[in-house]
Amino acid sequence: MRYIKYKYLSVLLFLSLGLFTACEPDPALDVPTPTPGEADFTTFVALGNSLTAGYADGALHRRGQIASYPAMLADKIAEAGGASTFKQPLMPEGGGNNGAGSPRLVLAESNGSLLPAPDPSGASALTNVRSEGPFQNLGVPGARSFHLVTPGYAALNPFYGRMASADDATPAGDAAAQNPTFVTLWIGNNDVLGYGTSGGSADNPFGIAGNQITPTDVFAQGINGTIATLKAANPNVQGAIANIPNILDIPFFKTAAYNAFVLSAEQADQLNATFRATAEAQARPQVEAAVRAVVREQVVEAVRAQVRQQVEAAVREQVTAQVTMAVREQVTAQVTAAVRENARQQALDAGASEADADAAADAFVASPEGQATIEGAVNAQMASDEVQALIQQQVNAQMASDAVAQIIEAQLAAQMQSDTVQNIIEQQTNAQMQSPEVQAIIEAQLAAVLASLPTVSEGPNPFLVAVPQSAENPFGVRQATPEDLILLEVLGFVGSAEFQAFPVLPDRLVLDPAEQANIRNAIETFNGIIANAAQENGWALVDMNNFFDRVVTGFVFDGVTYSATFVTGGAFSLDGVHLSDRGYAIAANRFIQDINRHYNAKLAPVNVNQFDGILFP
Amino acid sequence: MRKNFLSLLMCALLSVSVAQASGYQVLLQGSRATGLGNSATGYVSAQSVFFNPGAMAMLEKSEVQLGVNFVNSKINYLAADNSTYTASTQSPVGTPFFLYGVYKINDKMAAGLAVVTPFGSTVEWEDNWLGQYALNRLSLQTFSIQPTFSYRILDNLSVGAGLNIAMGSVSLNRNLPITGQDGVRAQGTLEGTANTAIGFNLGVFYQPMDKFSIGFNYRSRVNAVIEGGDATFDVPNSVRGNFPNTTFNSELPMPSVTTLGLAFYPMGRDEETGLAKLMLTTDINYVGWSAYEELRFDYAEPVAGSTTTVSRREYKDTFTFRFGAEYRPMNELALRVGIYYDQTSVKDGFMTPESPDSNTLGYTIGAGYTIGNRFNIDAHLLIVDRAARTQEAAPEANTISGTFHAGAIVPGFALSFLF
Repeated sequence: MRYIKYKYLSVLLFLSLGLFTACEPDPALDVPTPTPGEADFTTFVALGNSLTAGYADGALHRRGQIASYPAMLADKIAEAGGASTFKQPLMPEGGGNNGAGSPRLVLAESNGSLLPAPDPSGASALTNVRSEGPFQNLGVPGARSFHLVTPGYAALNPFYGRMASADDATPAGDAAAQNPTFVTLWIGNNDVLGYGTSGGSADNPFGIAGNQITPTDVFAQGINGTIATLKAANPNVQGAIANIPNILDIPFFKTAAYNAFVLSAEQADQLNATFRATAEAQARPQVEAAVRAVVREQVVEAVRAQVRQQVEAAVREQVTAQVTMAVREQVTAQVTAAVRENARQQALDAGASEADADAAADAFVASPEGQATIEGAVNAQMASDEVQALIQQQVNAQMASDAVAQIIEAQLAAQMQSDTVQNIIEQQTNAQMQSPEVQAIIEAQLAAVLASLPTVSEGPNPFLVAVPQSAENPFGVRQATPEDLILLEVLGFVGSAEFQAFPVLPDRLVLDPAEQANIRNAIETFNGIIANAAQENGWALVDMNNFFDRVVTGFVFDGVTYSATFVTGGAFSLDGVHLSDRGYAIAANRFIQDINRHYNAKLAPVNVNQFDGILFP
Repeated sequence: MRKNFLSLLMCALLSVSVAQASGYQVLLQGSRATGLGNSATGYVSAQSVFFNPGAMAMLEKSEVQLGVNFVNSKINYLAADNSTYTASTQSPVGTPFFLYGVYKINDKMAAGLAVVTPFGSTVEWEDNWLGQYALNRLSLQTFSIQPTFSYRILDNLSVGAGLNIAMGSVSLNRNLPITGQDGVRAQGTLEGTANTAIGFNLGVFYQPMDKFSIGFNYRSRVNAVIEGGDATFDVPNSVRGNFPNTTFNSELPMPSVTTLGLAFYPMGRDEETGLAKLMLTTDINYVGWSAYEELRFDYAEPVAGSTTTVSRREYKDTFTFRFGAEYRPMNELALRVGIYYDQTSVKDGFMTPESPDSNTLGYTIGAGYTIGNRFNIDAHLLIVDRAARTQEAAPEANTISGTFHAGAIVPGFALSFLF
């Protein structure tokens, strides 16, 4: 009896020992089943720009395309019973292509620091994949809103050219041709950001300059035209449209500090000296030219006064001679008449007849004696104060006449233009320019101008930025302020020979507050258009603007801290504009969240941690 | 030599899976206690060395007891927001043990020694699971040596006190959100052994009447302080400078535990052996978890630019309610059944992959058999049913959102020799 009990107990114990390692609990989880809700995911197509294409690390490359947010979204759509295929215009293996032949950026160590550098494996060709179409990912790097409905865009953008259904196709048309039931549209960044910073070639063939913001009406036509194209194919097409993030807060604009121009004391001194010398070399000729102009003006005036005096004196002499001659003629006539009359009277008094008296008078007048008498009387009269005063009066009157004044001016002008006078002026000017007084003036003016020149000191300095030259800013250089946004490219530019030679940033590398305000206003306006389009068409609105704001503020998700910090922030790729794989996963979840809400769907979110951020060597 | 021996002991025996109590407390210090829904403060047994030193002097005989548990646990995880993503732990079978020795010096006095594992947790998640940046693996091991003395003041009143000499070690591994160009994700591992710390354990036992006894137990808080633990980072070469292999200091509180236990014997006792035909017992247990405010690591050299990492924990004090019934169909055999309810110590948002705590129900059964007068053999089975719990992660807790559902099945046994 007791034995049986033991046996029973030992079997029990043995059994339970066997269970010790075999019996594993499996607590139940209520795993949801993805459902489409009111959404029709039968055919899903994604339209957009580089962000939609999966562009990352400064190029379109295969790895980035595979981790594009539309591809992730398509996976989740397939899980919910939607479209099971999602074809992307995949690039060949390799470093990808930025549209201008450069591969993606990879982190590389150089001189002990980690910097983005071109993928050493080189660029991959922008292979033509038209024959593999139609594609469901129609994201085109570099595309602005209106490009989606621009026939001929294939010829202008190689990224679209390689995948377009035809030369005269449009991305929206290629989407519509597939009769999509569900479309995502995320476009507009390039409309405010400018073509140059968003990948693709630098030229904008649409008459909108590289950094110019798309006009509002053109943007609206782009958005509404795209949706209209889709609706023409399928009036019931559903979709989700994402708005434009606040791009001014992305690492591209937030990484380089306005005062990241760091110098040692020695460098600062040297730079101040070099910069001053450069500026002085630039300014001295201007100052000297300005002073010389003033000096020359003074010399010309002085010479002109001198020449005028000479001309007037000469003219007066001439006029005086003419007047004197005329007066003398008059006086001579009077004197001759008087002498004749006197001679006649004497002849009459001597009893000569009238005729004889006239003849005697005429003879006397004609005689040398008579002539001498006349001459003597004329001379006496001419020398008289009365006559001299008369002459002077007449000369003055003539000199004051317009005719003579014109003659004087004409002669003056002619003389001033003469080589002789010009040489005199030049010589005098040169001489004056060399004078200590004028040299002192030049130095003083130069010093005043150079005083407005920014100087640098040891430690961090505000960057110097090129601006148009003006009276207020004769050098065309200003110091950056905390309100300026310095582009990420500056980090590379400061190492360039161009910067080393002349450490001033070109204007295109800096967004000043006015430019920032333009971009902000444009984003607000464009996002209004996008929100309207969503509402009018009954589409879901995906608030990427809000999402990027969150990245900027920083957030923790699934144990990972995200921020807008370049390289280490996690969400952005090495170009500082486009997202990392992980960033695209978070963006995909944004779409999923808003699609779920709007269409009462239950798409599962992407496991963000399945993807990587930036890869480190 | 001694330290080596202890380390060996810890490594070999003390990996404890999912704590069955709130936080990382382990309540597997006796087969009889476990069979009775973890109630062990209001009645007398060899396990009283741990559960209530006050009751020790009431033991009739000297006793040596050795027992072991086999913790089979699993945590299942479901990601948040409609996600279909699931992950599970692949934690090894944990084997927390307990060893008791009680020596009746005389009728009034008893000396005892307990070696137990009061706290611990070993969790191992799938490779590259969603929560990899919060935790891959955690092994928290503590054990405590408790020399104890008990004195019987009156026939029905005794007190006891013991030292709690606690030792422990921790090993934590998680991925870092840095991936190498070779595709390998960086990892950080923190490993350290705690300084020996000393606390105390006080108890009172009172049996005012034949059919009722009451016990009170207080175990003080002990801080496991790790100094000079090894912080090892497996990172891409280019960021090695930011992640130097260095040492760290940390501290983990083993909170105070206060318990009031009651036992009823409604069917009286066997006249020959003094054993109760039926015992109903309950413990009300209060754990000072609020001592665990944060998990902080201080590094000797800056790691990722900082010499500290802090994850907020903000635990709150908890109550546990335990009930057990023991029935002896015959003197040699005891059949036990029990249940306990354990409040979670963790606030919403602070549940972590290392101890995804939630309100817990534990169902227990057990049996004891006496062979002759010298040997007892006890066996137990505990089924832990933690409530599935969903949270949105608090950013400061460095954890993940989603639903955790944990469970454990813990068989075990104990062998006793009485003399």
